[in-house]
Formats: sequence, structure tokens, C-alpha cells
Amino acid sequence: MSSTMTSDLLKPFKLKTKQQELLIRVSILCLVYILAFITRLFSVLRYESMIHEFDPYFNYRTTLYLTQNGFYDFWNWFDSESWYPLGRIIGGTLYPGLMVTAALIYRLLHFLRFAVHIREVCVLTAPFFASNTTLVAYFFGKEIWDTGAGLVAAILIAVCPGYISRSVAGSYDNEGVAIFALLFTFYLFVKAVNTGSLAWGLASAFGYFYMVSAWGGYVFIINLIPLYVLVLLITGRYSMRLYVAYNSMYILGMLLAMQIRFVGFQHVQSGEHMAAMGVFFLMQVFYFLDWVKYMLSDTKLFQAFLRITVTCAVAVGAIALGVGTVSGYISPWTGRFYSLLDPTYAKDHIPIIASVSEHQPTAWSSFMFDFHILLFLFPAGLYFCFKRLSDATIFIVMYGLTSMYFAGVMVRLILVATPAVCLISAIAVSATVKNLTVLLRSKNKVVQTGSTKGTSSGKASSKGSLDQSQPFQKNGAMALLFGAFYLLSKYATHCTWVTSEAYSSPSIVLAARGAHGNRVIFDDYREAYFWLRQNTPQDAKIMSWWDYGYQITAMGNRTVIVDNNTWNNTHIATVGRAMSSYEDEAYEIMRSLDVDYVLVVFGGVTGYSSDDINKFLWMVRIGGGVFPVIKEPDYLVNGEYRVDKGAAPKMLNCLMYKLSYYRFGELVTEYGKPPGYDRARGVEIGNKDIKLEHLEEAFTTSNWIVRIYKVKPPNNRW
Amino acid sequence: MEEEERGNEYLKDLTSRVESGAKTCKVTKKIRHLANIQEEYDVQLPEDMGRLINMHHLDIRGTRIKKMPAGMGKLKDLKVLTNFVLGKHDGSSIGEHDGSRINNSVLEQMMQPCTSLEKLYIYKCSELSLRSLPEGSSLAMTLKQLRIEESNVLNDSKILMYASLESLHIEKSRFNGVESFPLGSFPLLNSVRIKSCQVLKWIIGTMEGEKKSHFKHFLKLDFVITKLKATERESLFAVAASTAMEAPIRARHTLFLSLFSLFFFLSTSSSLPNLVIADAERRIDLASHIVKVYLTFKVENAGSTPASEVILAFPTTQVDHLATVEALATKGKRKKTTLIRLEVKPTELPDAPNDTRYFTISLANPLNSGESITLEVLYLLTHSLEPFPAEIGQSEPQLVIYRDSALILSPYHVKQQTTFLKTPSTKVESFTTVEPTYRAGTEIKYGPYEDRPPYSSSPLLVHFENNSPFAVVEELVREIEISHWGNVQVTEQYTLVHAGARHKGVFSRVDYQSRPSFNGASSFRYLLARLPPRVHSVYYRDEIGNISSSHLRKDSRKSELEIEPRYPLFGGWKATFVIGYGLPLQDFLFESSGDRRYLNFTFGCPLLETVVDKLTVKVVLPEGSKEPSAVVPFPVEQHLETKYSYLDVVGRTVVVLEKKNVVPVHNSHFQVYYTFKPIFMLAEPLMLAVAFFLFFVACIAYLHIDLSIQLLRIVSTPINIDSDSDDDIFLVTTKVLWWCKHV
Repeated sequence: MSSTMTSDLLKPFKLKTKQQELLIRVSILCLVYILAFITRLFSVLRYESMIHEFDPYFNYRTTLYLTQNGFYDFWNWFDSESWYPLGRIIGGTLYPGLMVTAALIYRLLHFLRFAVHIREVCVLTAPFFASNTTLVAYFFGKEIWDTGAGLVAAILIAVCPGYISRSVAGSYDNEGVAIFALLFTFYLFVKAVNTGSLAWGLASAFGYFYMVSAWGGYVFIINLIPLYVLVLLITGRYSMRLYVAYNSMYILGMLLAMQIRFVGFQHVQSGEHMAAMGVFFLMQVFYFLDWVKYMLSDTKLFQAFLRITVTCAVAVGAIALGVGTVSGYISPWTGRFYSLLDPTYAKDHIPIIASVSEHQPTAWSSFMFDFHILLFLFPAGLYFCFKRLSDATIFIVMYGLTSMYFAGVMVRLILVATPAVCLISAIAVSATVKNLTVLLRSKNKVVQTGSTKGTSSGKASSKGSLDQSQPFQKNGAMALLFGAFYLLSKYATHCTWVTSEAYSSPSIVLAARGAHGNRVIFDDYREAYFWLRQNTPQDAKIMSWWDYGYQITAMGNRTVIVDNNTWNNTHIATVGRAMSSYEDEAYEIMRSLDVDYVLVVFGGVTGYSSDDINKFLWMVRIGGGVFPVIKEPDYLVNGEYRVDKGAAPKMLNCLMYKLSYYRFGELVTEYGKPPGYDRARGVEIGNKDIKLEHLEEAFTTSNWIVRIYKVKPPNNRW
Repeated sequence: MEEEERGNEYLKDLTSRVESGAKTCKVTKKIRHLANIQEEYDVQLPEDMGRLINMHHLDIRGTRIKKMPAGMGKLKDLKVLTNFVLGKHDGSSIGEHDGSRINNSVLEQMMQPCTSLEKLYIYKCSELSLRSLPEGSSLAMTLKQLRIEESNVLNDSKILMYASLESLHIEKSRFNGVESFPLGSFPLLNSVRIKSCQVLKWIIGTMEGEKKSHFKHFLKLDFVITKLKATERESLFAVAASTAMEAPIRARHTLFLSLFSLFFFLSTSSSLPNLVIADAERRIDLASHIVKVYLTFKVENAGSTPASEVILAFPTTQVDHLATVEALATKGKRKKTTLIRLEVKPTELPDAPNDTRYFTISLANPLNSGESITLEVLYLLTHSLEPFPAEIGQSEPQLVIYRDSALILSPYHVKQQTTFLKTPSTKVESFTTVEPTYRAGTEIKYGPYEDRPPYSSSPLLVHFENNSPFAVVEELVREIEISHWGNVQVTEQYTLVHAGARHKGVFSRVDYQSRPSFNGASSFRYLLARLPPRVHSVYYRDEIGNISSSHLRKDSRKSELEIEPRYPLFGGWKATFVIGYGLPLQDFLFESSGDRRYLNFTFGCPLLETVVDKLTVKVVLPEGSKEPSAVVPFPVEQHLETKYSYLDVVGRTVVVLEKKNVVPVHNSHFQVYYTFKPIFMLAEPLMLAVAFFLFFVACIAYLHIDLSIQLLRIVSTPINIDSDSDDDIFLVTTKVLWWCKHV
């Protein structure tokens, strides 16, 4: 009696299957959301809540300015602390999306009386947006395949190292927000194409606007979507839905994007954006032809008309493009764009791009490192996509293929490929697992014999039909299922390992293992920057290689000559020239630039290999690119770069060498080695008796990683 | 007279109305004479005084007015203003901090529009409240009578601008900024009375040539000069006499020149009973940058009246650097000596020499005639070692100069005295010799000197090596946040500077690493902070992040935190950082009575051997606390603020205590009392619970309400559309149908 009563009582709480599924789905999504956030917190736990790398320091500094001075001051900010004596108009030369986002989150939290520091907001912005990306991935997966694929995509992207590399806590860079914006825009656009709804089209335009405000990678969107539309047109999949989606998205997106000062009129003037415009006009022609076809009942007449119209349209387009390019109204493609299409372009023409390690072509190992099993699931997913071709799957296939190409050209673009790879792999996993489980659960059904699919491919499956003639098929399915789960669990452990070992070091604090296995921390960068901040005059100008520019302005709060925004090649070349000249020549250059302090990074004592001596050849190359006085062969001996006794005389006496090795010859760095043994390069240095005439040592950090020299005022003339 | 009474009545009326809480009342603009509000009125001047723009005369002598109303500057026609009350300022009372914060421009601003002021009385203004005389352009034309009494107006030099003065009375005021007083610049002057002014050295009656006629207005010239130092007395006397001789006696009335003659202080002063110091011994410890002086002396009462106070004298130059003065009385015989702490207060003596400041030690029992008592005084001086040379290189040692007097400055006769100076090492460059002087090891002995008169001094200068860390915290803000959930969170923001000889030229890491004893001997790498026991979650960071070099040692009685700034601090180098830690609440918070609780915490800086130039202690009370009050064993400035922290709605009350020149001795406990109802603790959890509840309710509501526009159903079953349906829906439907055709 009582049991029936309780069951009666519980009846309203008993969930239907559909509700159960919803509950499971929501809980999984919540867990994935949390997982994506916490897996990015390794660096905070291991080090501290701090900003990483180089560019994020600039972003942090501008965000700080934004929160302190308000949006309009930020928009009109002329920053005199960088690019001395040129300065930089911050509002017109950055993508403000990231800073505005962080500032809004900060304001919101303070409105809700959460007294957090803006630094914490900045540090956690990237993980927060990574979490949001998992949600978008779920919906995107749901849109292109089914909810299962969506869930798997969310899980895969939550831990994928290719994405984590740019979105760990503290990596406060544009990409952290931009990948979310990119995927969101694509999702909204695909949704718009699928539904033909004007609302979704406009939503995708706003997503595009956010993307434009956040990252220069928006060019990928504005080229991929027209390409996709073109493919649909060619394959005869033109529809009213596509027309509505593309036109609304393009027009509104373009108008909105023009509001970003850094982008401005590029949408109508730059060669990189012309494809979108061309497709837009092509679309109108298509619509026109559709209408004419509807009006004309005669097919023959229409064929003739079609021929004329297409020829005219193409001719007019070509002429317009030609005239625009020749008259200079349409700017040609930039070097960066060329270097994307042609991997060898940068090496020959733009050394400053080639000097950055993340712009190098990708090695196979880093694909494996960043994607792990996704690399094998990707083709399988493509197979499934082609099997069930729709507008959405065509989109994801095109996104996957193009972004994979770009990922092969540049290491950093693995990031753009990651969402596509995750989504396509998710389709593979989801479809496989679904087929296998259907196979397992259909035991009681009397199944007719059907044509069995080949199970030779590990991932391919039989289409849910059980052949009685193959009694081991069920066991085989079971085994395959276990195999899939084994691979996925391997993927999870690999991702965690990569995140913890490779992507969670802030690079501003270096950690090493001491002799007794204890962790030794080299905090020399901040030691030097803080010294600059506290003990140099407020208006001191610091000359260093451009890598450290952002950090010096953000942490040292001092004016720098060049920084990581490499917009003026000549200025950087001047610094490169000063570093590679003799001291008295360099002194002239430094006097002309009002330099008060020179900062060099030197790893000879600690064995830190990414120091200025190892970057020195790039300084020579970039300096020599503008000033032919500097010749690379002068610094090489038989094409070999050396710092020991056999080094070239110019090398041994140039400013960089002198500043790096000043009084290093007196120091014994390693037991059993002569004094002046450079641990980063494993040689004894060639010039131990270095005298400085125009500079004096102002500060050297405890592990010698950063050395700061003061430029002496000129001698009195009497 | 009638008018006066009316005004009087009006004022009474006004005051009572203000007290009864009524709002503003109409002020007649025509009251001209508001005078003689007598002592019985414990009045407040009405806030809208500024509307009495036609008033001529305001006499508020003897009233207990605490503050002048704000709009005083509008009283353009004011001719007589007896007192300008800038708020009472008393160094020891912390309740009335208004006066100290009025800046020097108040009086000036107020005077600016008074275009017809004729009489100005300044009475009992300390230099804290008024730094200089007003400088109104019109004042020079109209001011006829100026009276300054007992005011240490810091800068009197502007007095020379008041050319229209007819009568000048200055009494018991320091006359800073004006060493010589040319009578010639006041052509209309007819009455001068200058009495007990310390700094004034010369009174020049410049009678050059034809300007002699200026003195024809003189009615009365009255110099009452008392108690000047012997040297100055002579010069002033000479000048005054010569002035008198030179001045052509053309005054129409009597020229009254009375020079009261000058006695030694012992004979005249009533506040200085006839005490004699029988034996004094002073030990000056120069080992660190905080100079510690132990003064032991035996006082005898040689007079007839019992003495209850003993006065200590310090030169002005030392008073500015004086961090603390403590006095102990030794009682009992050899083995059974007990020490009693005595109260020490700064005082002013009316007839003191110009560069001397005083502290009074109040004895526990008055010292009867013929008795004697031994007192021990400890005082600490900061910023008293001057680096010389002021800039040194990395390998040079730091040399400093200490200046003092070989003889103890005292208002009493000293029969015998000795001074010992202890230097940190035997490296002494030079020292002044005042016979007899001996030097042995690290100690220099001056004395014994016998029978020295009061205020005798003999300059003393020691130049020696001192490589101890000159760690000075320029500013320290300690924030103590109380959470009734069991935690006291302390955040301390430091601006640390090496205040020794400035570093010059190269900093060489090789030399610093390889020969640490010779290089950068005066620099320092480590600082030790002594924190309370049971400290937890300690952090040490600065603006750009965590500083990874600190060690914490804990035991049951104390915790020691060894902190290392990012770089070694050489002379003149700075470092800013933040230390934060949590403490268990039960160690520091106690219940007083009812809902009243108090926090008992240490005041000073936890870093050992450091001087804090400016210390701000902020006690953040939990939200909902009321009636905060602080009890601090020494004078501090105090005010309240509001802070918003996590989930605060009305904000937390912050008690702010400020003190300058803090040394480790100030690490004593202070208490902050406040009333707090425990129910307020639940406010924030409840808020969170409600917020989550609302969120879930919203979710449930969203899941159960279908917000979508049911287009598809309409499309799939177009028959369902009623004939009388909306035109709009029909339009939409047709559109969708058209669309579907195209799709």
C-alpha cells in the first residue's frame, strides 16, 4: 500500500525518456564547460595568476588603460611610450574586441560587487571563452550532424591541445576570444543557410562584427564564406535560403566591420576582401537569371540569354577589378596574405615575419602533438560528411580542408583548423559509435540479411544491419567500441599531458629542475622590468630587440624604441643596425634615438637558448634589409654562426656581442670548464676582454638573463 | 545697542532652531552688528551666516564656538572680527581633527572678499591650523588693528605688507620668518606692543633721511622682552637701545620704552621649579639607522615647592626626527629596582628659547623639596644619520654623519654629565673632541662635564662607517579586514626605499656575486617580517606579479617571513610590494559587552628595524557594523571611510588611523570597538541563495513556456487558419509558402 503511495507520489517526478535525454545532455554540457575551463588552469596553479608571453602584455596594458580612463580615452589614446619617437595611435591600430570584452566583464563583476582585479579578469578571459566555444561546438555539431556529434565535438574541442595552446589562463591574446567568435559566426551562418531565416543571417553578421573587432583572422571568414557560396552555386545548390543568408550577412557585416577603425574601408578597397564582393554581385546575377528563367518559358532563349549575361557579368567584374587595381583604389594583397598562400614568400621578402617562430611552416610532429587521434579521425569524418552531403556538411568540409592547408603553412594557424578538425572528427566518432551501438542493441530483432559494409577500416561501420552469417560481428562491434573508447581515453590523457607540460608555462618565468630535483625558478625578466620601473627616470627610453617591447612598456612602464607591433620595418632595422654595429657607430644611432638604457637578454649563464645572441642573425638580416652597410656574411665564418675564438671579427666586436658578454669572461659558469663558458651554446667565448666606452652596466639580473646598460652622456668638449 | 540685542536674540533663536532640527530659516541681510555673544552661550554660529552680508562687527570672544561656518567669505562689509576659530586642535585628542585639516588658505580665502576689514585678532592658532597670515590685497589698505596672541603663526613675513596698520600687538608668539622688524614700513603706526617673541632679533627703526616723519604718529611703543638666550639678548638689547637713541623723539605723546630685564629661567619661571640634575648619563646607539638614545639622570628638587613634572628639552632639528619618547622611573634600592612607566607629553613653554621643544614627564608622585629621583628616558631618532659622501659606488662603504650636542640640552642646571656614543664598528673617520673625550673600540666617551648651566650646548659631529640596512618604508598601508566567518585578512602595501648613501655609477653583477663582503656592503637583500602566530595563506607580490623569493617559518609563538625584494636594494633604489596573510579570527577579535566587539591588533610595521615615514592602518569592519571607535596608545589621526568588497550592498565601515614616523617601538596593540549583530553574517549567503534560486526558477520557467512563433504548424496545416484570423498571420503564411516553394 505504502509502496504504491510512494510510487504515486513520485510519479510526477518520473522523467520521460526525452526529458532524461535532455537532462543527460545538459549535465554533459555543463561538465564539458567546466572541464574546458579547469584544464586551462595549470599555469595558474603551477605558477601564478599572470599574463603570459609577449603580446598579451600589450593587451593587458591597454585593458588597464581602458578600465581606468574609459572607452573614449582609450579610443583616442596616443601612446607615446612605444615606438619612440614616433608613438602609436592605439585606437586606430588595434582590434579592440578583446579589451572591450574584458572591460565589460570587469564592469559587470564590479556591478555585481565582485571586487576582482582586472588582471584576474584578463587571465581568465581565454578559458572562459574556451568554455563558451564548447557550447558553440555543440550547437554547430548538432546543426551539421546530430546532437551526438555535437556532444562529442564539445568534448573534443574542450581539451584539444591545438586550441589550448592559445587559450590557457593568462594567454590574454586576441585568439582566445577570436576562435569563439569565428566558430560562432560560422555556426550562425550555417544556421542561416539551413533555415533561410533573416534573423540568423543578421545574427551571423553581428558575430562577424565581433570577430572583426577581435582578430585580424576575420579575413579567413570573409574569404571562406564566399568560397563556400561559390561552391554551392557551382554544385547547383543555389537556393533562396542561401541568398538571404549570404546577402544579409555580407551587407550588414561589412557595414558593421567598417566601424572598427583599424579595418575601416578595407572591405571595399582591399584586394583581400574583393572575393566576397564579387560573390555578392554574382549572387545578384544568379537571382536575376532565376527570375528571367521563371519569366521566359523558352529554354533555348534562356540559354542564349544566360551566355550573354554571364559573359557580360564576368567581363564587367574583371574590368572593374582591373581598373580598381591599376588606379590604386583597390590595394593589392599584403605580404602576410601572400605568405599564407605561398609558404616560401616570407622567407624571401619579409624577414620580419619569417623571424617569428610561430610563422614557420608546421612540422608533422606538431600536427601529431596538437591533434593526436583527431588527425586520423579527420579523414574518416570527411568520409561520413561526403556520404551525407548537405549544405552544412559541405561547409564544414570546406572549412576543414582550407584551414588544414593554412595550418600546414604556418604553425600558429593550427589554431584556426582546430575547431574544424574537432567537428569533423566528432562526426566520425559519433557516427561510428552510433552504428556500433545500434549493432549491439539490435540483438532481439529479427534482421533481414543485408549487404554488410566492409569493416576493414577500423572506423567505418556496418550500417546497423546484422548479418546472421557472421556470428562474430557482435563481438567485433564490441571490440571496436572498446577500441574507440581506448583511443578517446588516450586522447584525453595526451591532451592533459600536453597542456600541463608544453602549453602552461608563462615564458616570462622560467622553471628548471635543480640538482636535487627541486624546482628552480628564474624570475629574471620581471626582476629587470621591475628594476626599470622603480629605479630609472620616468621618461627613460629603453632600446631592446622588439620581442621585449610590449613587456617593457607593460611591466617596466618605460618608453621603448620598438615593440612587438612590427608596423615600421625601418625603425626595427635601425635597432638591428645599432645592435650589429661597432660600439661607437651604435652610440651615434643611440644618441639620435635618445636612448637612455639598452636591454639585452643573455642566456649564457643559465643555458637559456632563446636569447639575443641566438636571435642576432635575424637582427643582422632585418638591419641589412634596410641598411646595406650591414652584411650578413661579415658575421659568419664559412657560413657558420659562431661566438667562440673562431668567430668573425665583426661579430666579436659588435654591440650585441659586447653587451651580452661584458665581464662574462671572469665568470665560471660550469664546474670543470674555463671561465667564460657559454652554456647556451656550449662554447668558450672568443672575446673575454671587453671594454665599454659609451655604455656602462646599470643592472644585471641574478641569473644574468637580462642585462641593462646605461648610455653615458657625451663627453664634455673643452 | 538695540540692534545688537536684536542680533543677539536672533542668534539665539537661530541656534535653538538649528538644534531643534528645523530646516533653514530666513536670515535678514540687514543685521549689522552681531556682537558680544557672552561666555554662557554654548553657541554654534549658524551655517548660513554667509547671508549676513551687511554685517560690520562680529565679536565672539569667549564663546565656545568650535568652527566657523563655511560661507564666511561672503561677509564683505565685515570690519571687526574678533576671533577666527579654526577648530580646536589638540595634539592628543583625536576626536577633533577638523582643525588640523584646515589648510592655510582658509583664512586667506575668507579674507579675500572682506574689503573693509579693520581689526583682526588672531588668538591661539597653532601652526598646524594656520601657516601664514592672510594676504588680501585690500587688507593692506584697510587693516588698522592687528593683534596676534599666543599663536605660532609660521610665517609672519606678510605682516610687512599691512602698511595701513595703526596698532600692532603681538604677544607670546613666535615670530618666524621675520628676524628683523622694520618699524619704518608702517607709516601710520601709533601703538606697538611686542611681548615674548622668540625669533625676533632686530627691531629696526630705519630713519633714513626724510622718512623720519613716520614716527610722528607714535603714541605708544611697548617692548616687553623676556627670557631670551644670553647671546641674543645682548644683540637685541643693543639694537633696541640704539633704536631708541636714533629715533628722534618727536612723538607727540609719551614714548614708553620698557625693557624688562632678563633673568635666567630658573628664577622667573613658575613652570620650572627649582630642579637640578645631579648626574646624567646618555648612551647613544648608532648601530642601525634608528638612533637610540638612553638617557639616565637623577633629578633633585633644590627648590622649596614640590615638583610634579620634569621637563625634557630637544632642539627643533631633533624633534622633527623624534619617533618616540619613553620615560621610566626607577624605584627602590639596588637589587629591588622596579620600573614605572611615566607619561610623556609634548608641551610648550611660553618663554622658551627659539629652537627648543619640550616634553613633560609627569611624575607619579610629586618630588618634594630635597628629594631626588632617577629617571630613564629612551628616545628614538629617525633620519638622523646623514650619509656623507651622499653618493657612493658599489665597492665603497657607507659613511654617515651624526650631529648632536656633547652637552645634554636641558632647562635645568646639570651638575655632572657623560655621553657615550656607540658606533657600529671601529671605523670612525673623525669625531669632534670636546675635552675630556676618549675613544675606545666602538665607543666614544664625552665627559664627564661638570656644572653646566641650563641650555648649554656644544656641537658634536661623528663621521663613521655604518653599513646596516637603511630600510625605510616611505609609505605603508595596512588593511585589516575582519570577516566574522573566522578570518582576519591583512594586506600590507609597502613602498620601500634604501635611504642611505645613493648608489652611483655601475652595478656589476660579477663583483656583487664574487666578492659580496666588499661590494655593496650597505645594500640589503633580505628583510625579516615578524607576523603573528597561526598565520596562513601568506603572499608576497607586487604590481607585476608574485615575487617567488620568500620563506616562512612558523612556530607556536610567532611566524617569521623572510622576504627578498626582486633585486638587492642599493642606496636610493626603491621597491614596492604587497604582503598579505590571513589570521584566525579568535586570536584577535573579542567580545566586549552585548553586541559590542573589539579587535586587538598590533599597530606598527611587521618588518624588523625599519622606519615607516607614513603609516596608514585601515580596519575594515564587517558590513553592518556600527559605532566604531579606536583606542590607540599614542596620538594618531583618525577618520572613517567606506569600502565596497565582495557582495556588499551598503559598504563596509573602515576606520583609518594615520601616523607619521613610526618605528618598531610602535608595534603595540590597539583596539577598535564596534557593534555588530551576528544576523548580518547571513546576509551574503542568503543573497547568493536567492540569486541561485531565481536563476533556477527562470530556467524552469523558460523550459515550460514555449516562446516560439508557431509558423510551421500553420504552414503544415493551413486549413487550421480560421477565416477570421489576422491578416498578418495570413501574410506571413503566404510568404512562407512562397519561400518553401523556392526552397
